Amino acid sequence: MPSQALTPRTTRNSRGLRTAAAPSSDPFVGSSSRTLSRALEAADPATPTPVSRFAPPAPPRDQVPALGPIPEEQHQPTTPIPVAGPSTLGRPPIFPPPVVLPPATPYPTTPHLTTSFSSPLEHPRLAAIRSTPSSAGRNNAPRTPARRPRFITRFVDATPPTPRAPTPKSPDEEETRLFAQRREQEDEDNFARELWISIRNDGYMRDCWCGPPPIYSSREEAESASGHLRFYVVGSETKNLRVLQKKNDFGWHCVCGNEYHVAYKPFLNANGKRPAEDTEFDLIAQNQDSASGKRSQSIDRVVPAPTEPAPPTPATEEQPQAPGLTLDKSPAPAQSMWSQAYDTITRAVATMGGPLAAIFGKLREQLQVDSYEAVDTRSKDAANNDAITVKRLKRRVPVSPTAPVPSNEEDDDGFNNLVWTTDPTNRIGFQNIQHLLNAFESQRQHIKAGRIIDGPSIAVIQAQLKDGQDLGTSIAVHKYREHKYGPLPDKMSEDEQADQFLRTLAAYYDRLGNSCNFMVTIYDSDLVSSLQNTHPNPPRRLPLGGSQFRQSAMMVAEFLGFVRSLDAVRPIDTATLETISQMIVDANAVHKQELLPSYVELRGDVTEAMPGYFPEEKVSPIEELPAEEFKVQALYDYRFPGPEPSEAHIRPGDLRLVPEPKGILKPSKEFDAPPSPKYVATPEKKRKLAFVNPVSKFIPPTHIPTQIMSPGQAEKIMRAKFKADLLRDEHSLRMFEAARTVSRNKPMGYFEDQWSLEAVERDDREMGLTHFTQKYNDFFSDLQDDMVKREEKQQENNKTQLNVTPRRRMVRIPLPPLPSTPEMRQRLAHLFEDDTSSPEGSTPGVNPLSRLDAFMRPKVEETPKPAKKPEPATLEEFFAADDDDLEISILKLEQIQIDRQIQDDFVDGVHRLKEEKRRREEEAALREKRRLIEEERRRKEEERRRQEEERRKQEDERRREQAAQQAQEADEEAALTGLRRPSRPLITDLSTEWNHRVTSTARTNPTAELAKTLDGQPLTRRDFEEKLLPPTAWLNDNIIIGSILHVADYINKSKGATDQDPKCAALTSFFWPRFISQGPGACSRIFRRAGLRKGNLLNIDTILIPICDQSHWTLAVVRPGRRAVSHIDSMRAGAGDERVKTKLLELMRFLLEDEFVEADWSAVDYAGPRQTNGWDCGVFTITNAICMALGLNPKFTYTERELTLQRRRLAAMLLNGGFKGDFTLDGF
Amino acid sequence: MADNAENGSPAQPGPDQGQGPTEHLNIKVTDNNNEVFFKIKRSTKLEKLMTAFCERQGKTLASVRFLFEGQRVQPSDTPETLEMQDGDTLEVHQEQVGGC
Repeated sequence: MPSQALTPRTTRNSRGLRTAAAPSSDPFVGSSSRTLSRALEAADPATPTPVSRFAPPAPPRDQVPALGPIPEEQHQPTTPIPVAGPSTLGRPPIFPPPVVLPPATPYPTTPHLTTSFSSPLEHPRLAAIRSTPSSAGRNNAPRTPARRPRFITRFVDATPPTPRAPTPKSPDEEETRLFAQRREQEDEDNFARELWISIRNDGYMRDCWCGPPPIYSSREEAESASGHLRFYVVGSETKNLRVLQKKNDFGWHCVCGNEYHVAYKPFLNANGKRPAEDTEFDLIAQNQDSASGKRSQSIDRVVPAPTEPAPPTPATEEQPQAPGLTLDKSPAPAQSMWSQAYDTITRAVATMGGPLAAIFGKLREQLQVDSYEAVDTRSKDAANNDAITVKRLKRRVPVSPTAPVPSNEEDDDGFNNLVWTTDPTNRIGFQNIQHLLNAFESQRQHIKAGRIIDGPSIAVIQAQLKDGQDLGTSIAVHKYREHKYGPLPDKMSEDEQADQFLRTLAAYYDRLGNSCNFMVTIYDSDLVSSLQNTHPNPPRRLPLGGSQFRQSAMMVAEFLGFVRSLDAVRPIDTATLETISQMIVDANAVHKQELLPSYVELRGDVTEAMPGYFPEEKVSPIEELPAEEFKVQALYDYRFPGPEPSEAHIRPGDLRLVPEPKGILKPSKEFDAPPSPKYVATPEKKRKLAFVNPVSKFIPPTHIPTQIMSPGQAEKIMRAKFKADLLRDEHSLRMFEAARTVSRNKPMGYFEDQWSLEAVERDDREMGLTHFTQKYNDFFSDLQDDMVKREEKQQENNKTQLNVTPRRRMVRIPLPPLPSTPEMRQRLAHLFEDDTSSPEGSTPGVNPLSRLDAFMRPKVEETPKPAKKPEPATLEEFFAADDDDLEISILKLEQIQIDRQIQDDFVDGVHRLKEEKRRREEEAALREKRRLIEEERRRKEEERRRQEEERRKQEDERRREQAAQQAQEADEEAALTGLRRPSRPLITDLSTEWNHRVTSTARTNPTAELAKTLDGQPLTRRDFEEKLLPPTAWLNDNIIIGSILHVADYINKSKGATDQDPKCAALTSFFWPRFISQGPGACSRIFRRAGLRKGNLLNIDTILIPICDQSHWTLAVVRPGRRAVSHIDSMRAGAGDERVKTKLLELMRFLLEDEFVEADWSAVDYAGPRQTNGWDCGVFTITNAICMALGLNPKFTYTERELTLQRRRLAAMLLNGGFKGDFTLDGF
Repeated sequence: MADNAENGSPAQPGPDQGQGPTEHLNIKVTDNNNEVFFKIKRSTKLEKLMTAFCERQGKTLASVRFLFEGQRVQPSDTPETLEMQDGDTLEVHQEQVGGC
């Protein structure tokens, strides 16, 4: 193989035509690397021996000499790279010492994690989790740091568990079978310990205030103590924990009955995951996004990949290395047929020799030149523009993730033509690598020596540069800072700036070291030769190092990308740029566990040397693409350890974050409208020039999930949105993040966080928190059920013997220990917020402390007194002597402290008891006083009520007297005026029919005649709806005259009188003005119509004359039979105007002529209800007319309040056509 | 009667025919401010006269009351039914409305 590689070989340009080896200035990588390698070989022809492939196992890091000028300790922590001892190598190493990376062996990281690694593909966390239940899990148990104990005050049932102290029995009788079985099942040593941890963790997760069970210092002490489960320490030298079960002691260690805190509920599943957690997170993310309406990003659903593979490269045969990982490939029969035929033809042509081949070649050239021209434009342009191209191995894209793989298809992507290179520096160039290394190293030296200056911009840096300071490094650091934190904000304190600068410097320094390390590790020919030994043919999938190393390769790639971008600031020579670009490809390949392009080269074809060789169109596994187009992508090998690129794992329906699509043609900036010469009143409009043509929009391809977000955006979202808002729970958060890694590019900084050893350790600790609780959950519940059953039985027995009254006492119970790590404590701070301030505040109100004194004493004696024991300090020392049980000793110490605290609290309790008693007495006195006051008040109240009653009685009496008086008055009045009280109410409710009929007048035709008065006047809707029915309407003459004529008509009809000889006569309201203005002589026609003649006048009972004077209706009444004239004015409560009465007397005199006897006639006033409003006088007038006609006293017949109803009654009466039927006036 | 009708010219209701009921009457309609004279047949409904007066005075028929010697006149009345004579007066009053 070495000879093969050494064979001088012509390379082909991108047209596939053979060219001579290009000079080293040729920008194409292939040719330049060739030259470089040849030069190297000339300098040192020795090739590595196969012996050196087997590297000795990596020695401990401490023994490795420092990597030349690179200080080991600076970059070792972030990327732990094991280095082999100095190897025997012929050619000068790039950097002593060279590093060997055994490809398939796991990467040793830190000593304590090494053991848990089982496969290079497995993440340490997985292994750690798996190993937790074993004895190794002990180390992960949460530690309880010494701290200030916190307490909470509660009442507990202090009834003695058994009336008599249980007689000591043999241990067999003390334990239940369940307990013994379990103890045998577990290891004796582990059992008590795990049980204790389980109880403590359980209490912690439930926010229990009972505290962890006490640990007694000896078995005897435990025996004499109380509680169902008692823990004690055994052993003098090596201490261990034991547990004792007391079957007949029913004091369960936890009485709080708290629920699990929500944050921990998910942990109680077997897999520590809440059901549907991932879906929930996705949903939340989706909702938050759509709700906030952020435009910077959106969440897409990835559409199913197109069924056609993106590049038409046919798939290859199955991988021997990864049989489980199947690769999809397209059958593509046409293409394979074509390639078969093509192979045959070219072989024939090659063997047929010169002339034919020449002709065929020419023809071929002629025929295909156009298409080659078209294809080749980019390369030519690239050559002209001096652009840099990189080479990478083609990636196979699976057709679809689910399609089965047809095997042994005879297609070839040229991968078989690859052979291992002799020297990995061939492609890039040994000198180039060395140059870059030196540059990086010198920068590190500059940084170390402090020859860096800080400045707000490059110009400032250049201006302030002093002798001895390095400009290039300063600029690079400045740019790195911008790369990391964005442009420097204006307002930033100097401290902050300096801090940021220092952090940048440290990170930059670190990255430089990483990159150096990476180069030294990767471009080592020993590594390649050892790989060659393992894999005779270059494999497609090449896992190098552990996952951490691969992650660091990703970081290196990112960093190199940054270095390359410095070209814009300070030009970098082409060779270095090429080197960097190709290194990025290599680093990316390392990260993705792919074959490095630098490690392989194309196998030379034997026929190449033959005359008439025509280059065949072989499919090259190496593709060339401009360096700018090469994108570095992170592969998440922990989650998906397969060799496929991450695209393959996108399934339809997966979520990913994508940036907002940007237009290629950016809209121009807003600009103001051009200033017009004249003042224009219209407001100026901002105009915006934009390309709305969809052609100018960039639509990201949906099937290639690349370049999802910028690191800054992703970091912001991840940290701010989910970490702070959602759960405040790191575990869940990490779960979410892991779920999101499928399709999202993560920022570099994040890996350091997630994959750091601290993170893994923390993880393991968290798993440990729930582990024992899960393990013993069922056991505890069984045990408790068992205990409760027995307790019930016991209580029944006791009841028969003696009655024990339950007693309560107040104790201060230590709160559960705070979370053992600062992170967890911080995370759970909200759980304890209210507790920390409450030990004094939560004293309950009712306190049956009367017998506390007597009761507490034996309890205090029971608790281990610190006085009897060694001092805590010495005890701590004592326990500290035992390395393996330090934890328990600390716990013990804590318990002692807690006990002392309880004692203190007891003293406090006694004080409080006294205080309480005093206060109770005071309260009693106060209550007595209040009671007296209250009694006095009640007495007064009673008296007042009695008085009230008396007064009411008197009032009733008075009212009755009044009524009697009224009746008497009425009788007197009746005697005087001839008016009597009605025998039934005049104004009563209308029937439903009439109500309906009255209401329906509103819907009639305006001109329709609804009724007709007796003088032939039609009544229309207007009269009813505008002049009568509204409660405040003023009545018009039509209504007044119509009603009064009906009254007179009723009286006449009921008394059998005729029109010309009436008993009751009614005049219209038009009479009075005529009579006033023209005298009675002008009214003869009216008198005639009304039937008033001298002859019959004195036989008439009543003459009704409505008067409308200045918008006021009154009624003049003449009662010739009684020789009385009167005027009833509702405003004057029935009394009338003297002038009217005088006029009436005049009228009588005119009518009666000589029969008028002055002395007989008198003017009288009748009392009637008084009008108090401004609208009812018309109704008063009519109602008074009714009363007078019937001989009723208006005063006792109606009240003003009834008149609204009377309006409806009148309307109904008019519609009825008089006082008949329902409206008859009979019986009053 | 027919001769009378033939001889009698409507333009001149001659006072010479004053003894018998003349074919045409002069009716004065007054509302104290205005006096309007109408010349109508005895059998003509007074409605005609009333509406004419209202139109001229700009009033609605519902808001005025026509009185003949203190008695309400209906539109359907005629001078004949009211026994009106030549030169009689119809008084026009406002509708009487009262409340307070």
